[in-house]
Amino acid sequence: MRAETRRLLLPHLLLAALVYAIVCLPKSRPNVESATALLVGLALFEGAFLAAARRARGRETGAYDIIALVWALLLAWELAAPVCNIAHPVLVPPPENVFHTFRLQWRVMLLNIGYSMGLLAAGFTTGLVLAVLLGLPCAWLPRLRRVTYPIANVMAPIPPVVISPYLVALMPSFRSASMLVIVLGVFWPTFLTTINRVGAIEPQILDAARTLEPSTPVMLFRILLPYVLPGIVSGLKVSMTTSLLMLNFAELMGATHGMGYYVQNSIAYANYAHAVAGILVIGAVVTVLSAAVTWLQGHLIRWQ
Amino acid sequence: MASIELEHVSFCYHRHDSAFQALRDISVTIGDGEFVCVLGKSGCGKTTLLRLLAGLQLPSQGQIRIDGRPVTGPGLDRAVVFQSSTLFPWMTARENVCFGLRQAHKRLSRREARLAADRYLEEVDMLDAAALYPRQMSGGMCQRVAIARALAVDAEILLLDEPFSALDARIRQELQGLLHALWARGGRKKTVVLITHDLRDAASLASRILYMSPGQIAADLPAPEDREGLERELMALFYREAEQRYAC
Repeated sequence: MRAETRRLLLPHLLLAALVYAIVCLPKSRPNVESATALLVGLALFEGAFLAAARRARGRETGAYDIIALVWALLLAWELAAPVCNIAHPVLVPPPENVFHTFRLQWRVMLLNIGYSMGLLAAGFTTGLVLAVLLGLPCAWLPRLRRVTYPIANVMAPIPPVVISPYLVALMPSFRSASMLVIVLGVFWPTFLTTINRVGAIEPQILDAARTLEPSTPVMLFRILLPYVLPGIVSGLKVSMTTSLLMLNFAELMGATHGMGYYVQNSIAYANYAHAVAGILVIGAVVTVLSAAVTWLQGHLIRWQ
Repeated sequence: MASIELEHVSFCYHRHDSAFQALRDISVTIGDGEFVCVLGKSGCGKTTLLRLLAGLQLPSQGQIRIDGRPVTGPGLDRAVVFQSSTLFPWMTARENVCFGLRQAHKRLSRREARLAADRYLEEVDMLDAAALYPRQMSGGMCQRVAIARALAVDAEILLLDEPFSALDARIRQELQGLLHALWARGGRKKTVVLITHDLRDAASLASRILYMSPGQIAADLPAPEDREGLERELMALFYREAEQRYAC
């Protein structure tokens, strides 16, 4: 048997068992929705997996194990909830109902994703740009560095989540408070990274630059910025995930839109199928953002 | 004109509460168009001397003047090639040269700078590698590009800090030849100061040799026609210094 076929065997055996359980096994729970949305979801997953396997061209990647694990978890869920009914009848909704939610609520979900992403994009970009624009001169000009570095060391470790209730009370609107939470979450770590990276610049690079007598803007943006960029970009993924966490946390506190609000609202009305669907959407959004950052890394720092 | 005068130059490294005297009361004049090799063993202060000439550090005592003007910092009248590659890793070979060019000639358009950069790269036989990033090039290729960048500044004075020391013998010889050809060509010669600890580099390239023993210039030798004789003389200096140190 060819290695490729062998690797495909386990995921597809699990998928076959899952489809059999969904379509053929009798359900022990009432109110199980139509399985159409779930089956469409499985088909999309399978398509994405096959595309990833094709791109890997036989190389060892985690794709085969990951998809096998996904199918195994879904199978366990299907068996535990609608088929055998051994899971909690309210807290663990059938996967059919969760996927059916996507069909029913896709407009509402898109609206909430749009709201969350708008807030995230604005807060993240503001925090990042401010941190770099202020960090570079603060790192380069000794007097500014002596003032700002100790302050940054005190401010950076304070988690914005801790002060977010205060910020909500302080700011004129919930949206501006949420944005400030994200800005602070991104600003301080990036600001410190910028100062530390400039401080650790290779002396010979600095000497070479100084012999060419660059003006301060040239030094900041043509020498120091590209030098610190890999450090900033590699921290982007962590910053992005942290921002998303803070955003969802902020939305739990009193928003009227957003994915965090959607999940919170669904739980408040004991609609756990909607809540689980919302959690899955948040996971998917994080994955897409993470992939976007990886892509950005490859394009922004080509020289590495 | 591009003459360099050092007048009672001393330099001291201070670290915490200790101090190390790297250069002691050096006075020497390097004339316009000279190719001077500063020779000496590791730790004798050669690189410190070059850093002072480049303006990267200032003397603790004394003064360095270029064409009568005191050196107060780095300047575009001096181009420097360092021991290790100091190309900017985020720029291609062409962009590195362009950066040097546009620093020295601020009015150059992008297109003009690019064309001029290609000419300099061609001079060091690196035009084919113009689009490569430093990490895609070997050490010898990087040093060639660094020389092209230094030439692009079109400074009167070229300061070279052991630029061939990390290279293998064949590339080293090739780059020495290139450097000498670039210096010797045309009507107006640049003033070159080459730091080296290699006798052969000094004997084959220099029009004058400054031999340094720790912190001081021990001998100032004009290069004679007889290069082999000069090499023997330098060797004798090396041995004499070693014997003195051993006797101590």
